[in-house]
Amino acid sequence: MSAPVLSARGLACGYRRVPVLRDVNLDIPAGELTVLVGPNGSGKTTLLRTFGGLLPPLSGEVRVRGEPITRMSVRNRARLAAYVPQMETPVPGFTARQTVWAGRFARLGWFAPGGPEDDRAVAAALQAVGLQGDAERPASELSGGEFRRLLIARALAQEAPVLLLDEPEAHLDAGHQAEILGMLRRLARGGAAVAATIHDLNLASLWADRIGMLTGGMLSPPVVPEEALSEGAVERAYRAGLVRVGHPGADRPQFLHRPPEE
Amino acid sequence: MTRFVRAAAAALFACLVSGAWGQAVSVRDSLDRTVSLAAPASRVVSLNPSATESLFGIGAGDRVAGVTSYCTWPGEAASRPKVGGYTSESISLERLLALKPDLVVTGGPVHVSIRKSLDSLGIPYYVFEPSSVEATLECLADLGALTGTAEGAARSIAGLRRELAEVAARVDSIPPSSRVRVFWEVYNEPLMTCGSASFLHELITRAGGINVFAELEHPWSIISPEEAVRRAPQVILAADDHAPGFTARDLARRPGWASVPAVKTGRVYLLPADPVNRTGPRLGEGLRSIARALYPELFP
Amino acid sequence: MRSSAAPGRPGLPRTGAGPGIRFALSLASLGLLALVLLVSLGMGAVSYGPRDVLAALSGRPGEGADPMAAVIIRDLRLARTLAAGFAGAALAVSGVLLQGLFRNPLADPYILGTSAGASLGAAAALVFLRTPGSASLGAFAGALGAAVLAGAAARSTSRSGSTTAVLLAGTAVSALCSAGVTLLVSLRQQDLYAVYFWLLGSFNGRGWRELAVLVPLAAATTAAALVLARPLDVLASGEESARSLGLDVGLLRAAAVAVAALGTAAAVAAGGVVGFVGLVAPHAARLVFGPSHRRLVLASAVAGAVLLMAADALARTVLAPLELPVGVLTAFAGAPFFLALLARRGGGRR
Repeated sequence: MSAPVLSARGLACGYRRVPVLRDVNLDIPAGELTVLVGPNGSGKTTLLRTFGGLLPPLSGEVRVRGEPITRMSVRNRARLAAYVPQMETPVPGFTARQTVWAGRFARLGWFAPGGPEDDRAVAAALQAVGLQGDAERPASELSGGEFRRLLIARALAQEAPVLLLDEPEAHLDAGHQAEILGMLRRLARGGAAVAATIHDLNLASLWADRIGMLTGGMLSPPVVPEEALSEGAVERAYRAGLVRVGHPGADRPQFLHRPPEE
Repeated sequence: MTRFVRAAAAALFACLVSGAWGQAVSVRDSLDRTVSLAAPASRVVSLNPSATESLFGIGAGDRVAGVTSYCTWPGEAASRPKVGGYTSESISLERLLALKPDLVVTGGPVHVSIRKSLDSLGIPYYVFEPSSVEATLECLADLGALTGTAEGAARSIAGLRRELAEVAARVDSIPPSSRVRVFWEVYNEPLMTCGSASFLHELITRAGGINVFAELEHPWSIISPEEAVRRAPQVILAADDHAPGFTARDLARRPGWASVPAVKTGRVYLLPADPVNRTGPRLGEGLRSIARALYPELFP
Repeated sequence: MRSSAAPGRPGLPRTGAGPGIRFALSLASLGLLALVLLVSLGMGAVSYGPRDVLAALSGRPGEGADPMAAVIIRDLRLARTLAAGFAGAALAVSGVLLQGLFRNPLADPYILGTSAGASLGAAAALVFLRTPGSASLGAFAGALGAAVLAGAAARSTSRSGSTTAVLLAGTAVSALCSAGVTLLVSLRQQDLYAVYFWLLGSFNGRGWRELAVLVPLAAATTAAALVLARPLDVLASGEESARSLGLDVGLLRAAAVAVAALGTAAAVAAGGVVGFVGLVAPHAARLVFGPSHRRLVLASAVAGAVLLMAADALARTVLAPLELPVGVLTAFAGAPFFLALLARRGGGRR
């Protein structure tokens, strides 16, 4: 495991002094796709937002490249960590390209005029998500899946070493899910530190390098899927009897529902 | 005219026949309502500064039991108990009732809601809202009848008629071509002037002046400064309750106004406000102040 | 060609037109501005044709020309029309800033309580000071004061200082100032009409002195708004997204509120409380030029100038020699525009 880009120590996070998660210790290294799973309400989004600096930690700290994020300016934080939300409404009238261009704001700020390197970054980001042909279309005309890919492109345009994504696979069809997750793995292999919350256990198991499970207000240290997703752990977390099977094509656990009772 | 004669005759008869106790009185007010009293009023509350001046002017001042805070003339009037300000909402009905009036004198449109209250309380009132000099004299006579001071009213009226006639005599001698063109500035931001339906306009006309905006009927109108400049008035007048900054020099500084004849010759005058604005016994004074500004040689 | 300051340099306007068409539209807008200026100068109680107007402006009256034309056009109408133009621009730019900040196309420049504050300031000046020009000063101070009060109230009551808090604070300040005006006017009823007429909004009698103050303020407002254009574009995606993209939302909020307040105060000091311009001009500009703020600021400034100059010209012409308060005309234009806009939106537009 290479040097962690983002690390959390003794982190408690939540809203208005009510902790959702306590004593979280986590390292997100470059080169790996770290996935957080957990049942609804377990605090996946809360944790990710705290990593992104959008929610102040209740206690403990989050550091990116050694610097505590709470001491960074908003702009510096955006240069180091890019966050892709689960939901966003497209701005009426902006094209896809204009939407992605907003990702350059962290580098340019209020005043600096954009240059060819910014155009290149935007073009590359659109290409990475497969939307280069739709660059001039109004963002509001994109399908739900296309728009989520567009938001990922915007985050890519930030060229930040840490990429945080909240349920990037949600509402996408199977083909696009594979595409997006494959892209995230490629980015990680390319040197980015990528962390994502994923709702679907099976997708998480297949694509993640390491998985951390959130239950009962705690995060289990991320380990390889085979270890993280033991039958007992999953049953405890999700309170459902799921059948654990092996994937026919890979050494990764998959989970099936028990058949309904007659 | 007939109203005046009837009222005066009735009052005269009442004075001849009675002394301490009065006879029934009936007059028609500015809204053409019939106002009837069983006996002349001895406790009058006046809600109109012009009416207050009139009451004191005709000698009925001792019968005035209450006034508004704007009733500033004469000095005694200002010391009477106050029932409120200018608008209906500012009048305290309680204070008014506490004074036990047997007659209330109100203004016109501004006192509609107060009049409704007076109706329901059964208190007689006279609406004092004359729109011309002649109407003002009739109102003076009416007030005289209503307060049993018909003699005083007749004297006041006669005096005013003398003043009016004096001014008219001198003004009539001015040939129409020498009549002075006047612009009366009611307000400056926005620019407002008086139209032919206003009392001011009549005073200006009686003083021998020509209101450059005579074709406007409405008493007060917002007009374009360009028009005022274009009509090239020879004299510009305003009341002294106008905002400060009303001298020939100040007007010259307004863009475009330096070319106006009145400004070039310095004939920009501020006149005492109440005599020209109030429809009461001081209107003769107001008229003379205007005439003096327009024809200083005729009215030294 | 280097990119310019806002995202969307490579992007194209919503109309899908190329940069050539955009340039043509910009030229057309400037042409419209010049045309409206020229026509307005000819309108009033007396009409003058374009030739007379140009002759009067150049100082060389033709033979047989009305000698009053030069006085009226150059001395009276020119300063007044320019004042209306710059005030319209300032209001429109303030409207753009607040619509961008609140991400609500219904925001208008008076939303921070500036109109009520201006009313209170002007009323206080008219009642207590009664010197020429004091009403303008009072309106300016009142408008700024109200905005500052709203901003401060929002910051002290909401922990992170949210945009909703500013809106609510502005409403509260508005109510307070309106009550103040009513109180003043009840106490000094003889000044009631003076206050009322001043507030109706009018450029009657405005001249070079008012312009000398208005022009630099309007220019400063527009320049500052251009600086805020890119951050406002980023904010359009939502406050949290904007924060994750590196935008200091609190700083932008403070800056936008301050600049909008300045622009609105300058406009109100010049012409009283004129409604609809700050609401309608940005909308019209957005329809033609799209939502990118850099273009929107300039286009709205032009639209606001055109709108208010035209309204002022009509105000002094329609019932000449009487003058209508210019706010009456902006309302007559603005209300139907708004209804049309609503009808369009209801027709299934995304």
